Amino acid sequence: MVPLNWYLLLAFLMFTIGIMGVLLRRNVLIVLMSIELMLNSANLVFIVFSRYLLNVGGQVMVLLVIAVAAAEVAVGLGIVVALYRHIHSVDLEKVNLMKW
Amino acid sequence: MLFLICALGMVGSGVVLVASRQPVTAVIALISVFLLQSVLYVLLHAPFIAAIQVIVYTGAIMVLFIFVVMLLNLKERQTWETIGTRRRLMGILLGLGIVLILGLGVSQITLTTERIAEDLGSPQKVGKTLFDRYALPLEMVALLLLIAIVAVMEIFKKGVGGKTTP
Repeated sequence: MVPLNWYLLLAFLMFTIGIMGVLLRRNVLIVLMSIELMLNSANLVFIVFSRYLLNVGGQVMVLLVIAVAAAEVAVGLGIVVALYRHIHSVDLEKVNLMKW
Repeated sequence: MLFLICALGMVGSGVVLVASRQPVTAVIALISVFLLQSVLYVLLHAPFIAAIQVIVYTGAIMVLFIFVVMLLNLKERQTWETIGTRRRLMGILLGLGIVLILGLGVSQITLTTERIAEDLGSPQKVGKTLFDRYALPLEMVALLLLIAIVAVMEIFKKGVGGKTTP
């Protein structure tokens, strides 16, 4: 049986990779995908604790988180497409009209 | 062990996602992360959630990403990007710091169980719990999906006079 710590370490590693993707990339699609990676690692933590505490509520939570992620991706990609129509780029450094 | 194969595959695909120049490569890397994660879910006695992950996450959300990537039709010169070295260094240091702190915290956990519930992740049990105890969050997520649909339609709605709303 794989110890609990290994699963949690993997989840935290994926979460950190997601954070670095959000911070270090300027392509907005890569940033959105890194956010999905972070949500996915949180799902893994839920499932792991659902298995180790024998509580099925963790899996129910993962179901709801997947639904929320789907809604968020839909709205986020809608914003990306609408933004592309205006500035014809997916570079986040070009979205700077409200910067001081 | 299967866990090690999936873990190494997931970490490698994550690094490919974060470091790739082409968005299509990143999409394929994220798809592989989700599929390997689904294997881990099956190992963790959650077969229903594993199936839902493949169908919804990989089969709908990533397909949406591929649609948008193909629709935007980015040229190579548009996807080339530079981050200043100072910001890159700060980002990498932050990532290493987070991994260090979280790893130290994780290593303190001692929680093992030898009990196995055979039907822990079965659709019957997940569905019964979802509709018994968590009926309110279920209805709220349904309302959230409706709000998302309305929001996307509002973003792309044309005004009454025929001009597009900014």
